[in-house]
Amino acid sequence: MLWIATIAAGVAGGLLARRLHVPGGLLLGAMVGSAAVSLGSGAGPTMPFPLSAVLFTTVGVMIGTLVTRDRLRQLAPMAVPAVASAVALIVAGVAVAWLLYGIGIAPPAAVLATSPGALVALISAAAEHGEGETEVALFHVVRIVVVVATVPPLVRLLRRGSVRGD
Amino acid sequence: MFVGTEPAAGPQPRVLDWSAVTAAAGAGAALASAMGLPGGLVFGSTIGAGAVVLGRHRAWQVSPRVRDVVLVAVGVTVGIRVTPDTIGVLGATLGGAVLASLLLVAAGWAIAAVLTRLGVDVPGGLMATSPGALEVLTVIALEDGEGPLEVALFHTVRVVLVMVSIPLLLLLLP
Repeated sequence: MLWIATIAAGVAGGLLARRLHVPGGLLLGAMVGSAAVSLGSGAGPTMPFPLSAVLFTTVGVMIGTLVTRDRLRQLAPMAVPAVASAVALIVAGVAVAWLLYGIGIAPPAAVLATSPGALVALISAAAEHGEGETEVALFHVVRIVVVVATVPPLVRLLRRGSVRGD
Repeated sequence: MFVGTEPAAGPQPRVLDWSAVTAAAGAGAALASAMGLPGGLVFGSTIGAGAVVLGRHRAWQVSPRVRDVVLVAVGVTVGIRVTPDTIGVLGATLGGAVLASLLLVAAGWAIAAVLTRLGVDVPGGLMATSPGALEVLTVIALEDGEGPLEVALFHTVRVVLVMVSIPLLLLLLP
């Protein structure tokens, strides 16, 4: 029953946001709708693994079917920038942890909490270290929600601005 | 499920083609997950589907209806993580978590700007250099037609390098 309500709220939220022309509306609206049900019901449903496996495999199919030899050739020069970008983000995560220590609001295991990705591995590392696994998990959930809520609208705003500037 | 259309002129993929793609994607996802690769489901299925499609000379496109369903479903997977428990436990640390997240998003923006300044034109730009949400941003890049392969590549490399850096990060803990 909770799943039906969650999916219905997700679909309604997505369609409403798209109708209102919210950037990335279908996804963002679904996120807000399902979060509302999750908060209202006291505990959100857990997505069964087979369902998430089908979903993420479908995402892989959507990407994989775009692969052509020409596209692969275009992708090769992106390897070094991708590594450089990842290293820079990891360094930024460490810097953010130091900043949180500096202003006195760092959670336990702050460098793991502010790391840009690999949620499950970082929670395991915090658990192995013996502190902060809950905070690490929560920081990462907030990071994902903030990225989803800010980046797509920001990208579309920037794109609109550059089109106007041309 | 996948009623595909070619983005350009060319032969339409048949049901048999989609069956082969789906089977290869499923096998790739299962193998990558079994190997414990980060983001294994997306990464493995991309490689599996890509291997089948690569033999053809044109990209295929998944039906817009399937894409819409995936967008809503991915949104729901993020939304259900927001529970009263998470809000309650966050309490005192919420400010720090939001601040850290915004600073990381800003870092991603700065990296995208530096790459542009260096003459590296990354399709998908900020979505590729963002600090998280591999599946979500890849799906949005697909929806926008803005460098989904590049976005997937950047995020996969990010997750792999974070995992590799964990021993170093542990050394930095007080």
